[in-house]
Amino acid sequence: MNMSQNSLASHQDIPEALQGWQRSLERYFSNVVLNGKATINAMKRLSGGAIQENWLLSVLVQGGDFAGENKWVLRTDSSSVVQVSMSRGHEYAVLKAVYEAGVQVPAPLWLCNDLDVIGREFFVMQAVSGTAAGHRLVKDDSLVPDRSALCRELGRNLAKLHAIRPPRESLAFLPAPETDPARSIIKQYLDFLDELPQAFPVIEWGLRWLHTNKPNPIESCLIHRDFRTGNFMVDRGSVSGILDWEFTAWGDWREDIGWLTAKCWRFGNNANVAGGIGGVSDLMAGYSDICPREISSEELRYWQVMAHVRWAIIAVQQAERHLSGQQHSLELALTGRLVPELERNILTLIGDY
Amino acid sequence: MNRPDAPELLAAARATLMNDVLPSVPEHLRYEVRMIASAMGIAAREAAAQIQTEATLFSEVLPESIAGSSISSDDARRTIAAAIRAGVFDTPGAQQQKLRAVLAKTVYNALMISNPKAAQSSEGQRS
Repeated sequence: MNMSQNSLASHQDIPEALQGWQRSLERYFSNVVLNGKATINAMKRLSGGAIQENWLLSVLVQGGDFAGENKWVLRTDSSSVVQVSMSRGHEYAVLKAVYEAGVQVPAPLWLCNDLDVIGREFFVMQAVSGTAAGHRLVKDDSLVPDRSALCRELGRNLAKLHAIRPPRESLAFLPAPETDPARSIIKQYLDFLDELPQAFPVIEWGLRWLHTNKPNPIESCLIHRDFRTGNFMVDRGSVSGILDWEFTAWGDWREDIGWLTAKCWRFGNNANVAGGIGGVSDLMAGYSDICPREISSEELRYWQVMAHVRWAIIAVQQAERHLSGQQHSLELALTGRLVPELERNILTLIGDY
Repeated sequence: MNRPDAPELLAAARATLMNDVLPSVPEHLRYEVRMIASAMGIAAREAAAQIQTEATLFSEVLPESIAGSSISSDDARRTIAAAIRAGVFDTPGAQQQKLRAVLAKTVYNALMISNPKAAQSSEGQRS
């Protein structure tokens, strides 16, 4: 989805995929656009996803509701990847649910689970313009002329997402909401640690702190679980689309706030606690436009510790994928070397560093 | 004694990569070159590091279970992690203080190798 981030996607993917996919996709599109004939003029792999592939398509449609030149994004599983998150069909259902709730996302268009088309399940959404590149968004004021306005906008989007409460028939595939999400997450992370060949005393200590300081559970709602700078597109200073819904789950709304504001997602602009973009007060002011809520500094700290613990565990798991020979990758190997910095953030937050 | 030693070799190789090779590398491979340089930098610092082993550090926290000289750092980490999970350090006091100090020390040592800037810039700062 993100055209500006550094990419490992190689351009030699394009000709092969074009040959294999173009005709069958044109037939598929001509069928779904109703009374139109579709021709794919360009197809480009977008960077930013190791688990999913995103293709930007330029599709000319003659006749029907989509007549004219269309920019669509096709999202599908990467061919080499094992299933680690929800299926594209489930992600499409989430995208539809949040779109209908007024969250700013790329408009979902079609889901295709006919494997005869490109050999994998995929969905198609409207392309959105702008950039998601975190390191640019946190520094370049020409991209974000009004930081407080962008933070309020992010807050409003989060509040609209969090207004979705269980049960939802269209989201019945999600694991049922937990009565105490923090407790369940801590248990899950301890289980992850037990699967690793080494022990991680600092992460363990962070989890112990999370256990000892666990807040009282509150009502569950739909949360994104990867709502951070780098996962939303910004065009002319405004949100143009929130991306990557594959980790969405029922949970504690404060987890999303902790993730977005954790130091590890500020791309070096630490003064701007809300994702390196701006202030938490603006974020929560926007949030409260939709749903009056506050987050105390203690709650924020708790969920920021949770965020760093989670990222540290993911980083260890990614390095392990390289070390185990499952996927040889220097990038994955180096991710393991991010762990000390995340551990330092954990210790700093709980007052030990 | 091999001269140049491992850190010196890595430093020379890294300098050649960044100064002579990188400018001619096409745009779509520059990220990879920077990653290679970063990995070489980490490896050079690790090869040069003379730090107390984690086994020695953790033996200060649980001297009865971790004899610093006869246990691997991996085993020491496992022992400490299990004790943390069992709640051994839950009560504030001298032993908890010791653990907290040693954890901070292990993180500092690891950062001095993986990301020395982060080790130095963060001291004393709360985020």
